[in-house]
Amino acid sequence: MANVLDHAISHRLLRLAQKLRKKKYRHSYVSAHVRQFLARQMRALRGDDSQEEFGKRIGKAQNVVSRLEDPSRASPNISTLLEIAAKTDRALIVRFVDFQTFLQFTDDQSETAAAPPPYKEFEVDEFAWNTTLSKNGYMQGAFGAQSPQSKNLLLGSQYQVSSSFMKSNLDPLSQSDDEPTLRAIAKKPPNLPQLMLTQSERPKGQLLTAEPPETRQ
Amino acid sequence: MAGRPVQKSNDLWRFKCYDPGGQGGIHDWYDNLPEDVQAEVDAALETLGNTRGEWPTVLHERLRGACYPLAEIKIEVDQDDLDDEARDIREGAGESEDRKNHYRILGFEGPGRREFTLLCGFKKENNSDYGPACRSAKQRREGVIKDGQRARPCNFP
Repeated sequence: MANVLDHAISHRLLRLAQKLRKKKYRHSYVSAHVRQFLARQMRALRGDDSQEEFGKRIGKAQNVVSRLEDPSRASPNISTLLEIAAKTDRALIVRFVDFQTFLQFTDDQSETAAAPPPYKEFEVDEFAWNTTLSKNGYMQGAFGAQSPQSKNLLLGSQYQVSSSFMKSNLDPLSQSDDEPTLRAIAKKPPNLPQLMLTQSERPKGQLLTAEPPETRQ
Repeated sequence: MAGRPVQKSNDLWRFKCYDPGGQGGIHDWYDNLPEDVQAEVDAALETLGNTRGEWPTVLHERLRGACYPLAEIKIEVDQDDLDDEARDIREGAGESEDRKNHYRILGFEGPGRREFTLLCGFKKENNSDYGPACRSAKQRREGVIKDGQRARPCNFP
């Protein structure tokens, strides 16, 4: 089933890449996709609330919510989007990107992409730790530097630093992200066995232990 | 009485396109659209295809009367004959609603489960009479129901 899905997704990208060769299509699609996805996000963020109820949550009138959910009428300015992001405790990204990056974003049309979860301190800390340690090669020993798992690890999607490690060893807020500090963390043998990696859907009781890369000094 | 497309499982909708073989399919209509309209069609259908819950009324509407049991997919495209300054002036004057070209795709839910078949498309003019388009779409629908081969899976974009 996964293979069938991958097949369909890759064909979508190929079809779209071919269409994007035409300038008018290219820029119209960017515009259409942004408006469509933003409208879909507004509807998804509203959840089971009525437009009026959601409007109260974000400090907007019902007719504004209605317009935000209509891809043909929605043209909110950045201030409005930032306000809504703050009221719903989500982040917002507005930036110019190359078309490869754009394609990557458009390829994720999942429910989670449409309605991302609000801020959760632990998850953000955990992501920051995983990414920082991964970028510095600290976890490569567990999976092999080129393995798909380590690539997932870099994305922070599949494996995570366990909460016990974070609580008992390192306070993220007190740590510097400079190279000497990270080297010091990586060189600390007593702490290494406590760096447990948990797979999001692993059977209970199975923990993977990370080891520092041998080349690290 | 069929309701609006509401999915009871996590499956996504799949589109089928009326395509009797050779010419006359909905792709003939799509292929002759301006590129900016094709982009709007692609993005709108992609949104619907990825919406697991109820399709939003801003994009999809069930038709009644002579067009029953068809549904329309609504595509609104900015008229591109205005430069940005002229557009700003018009929008400032509350005229933005009038500066759209309205396109419609008629179709129906089926023939298979979680399938939506696109039958025909047209540009909607002011006070547009859906009658001719609906008659054609209903004939095509009958054809698809009798012979499933008249509609093939299709993807947008």
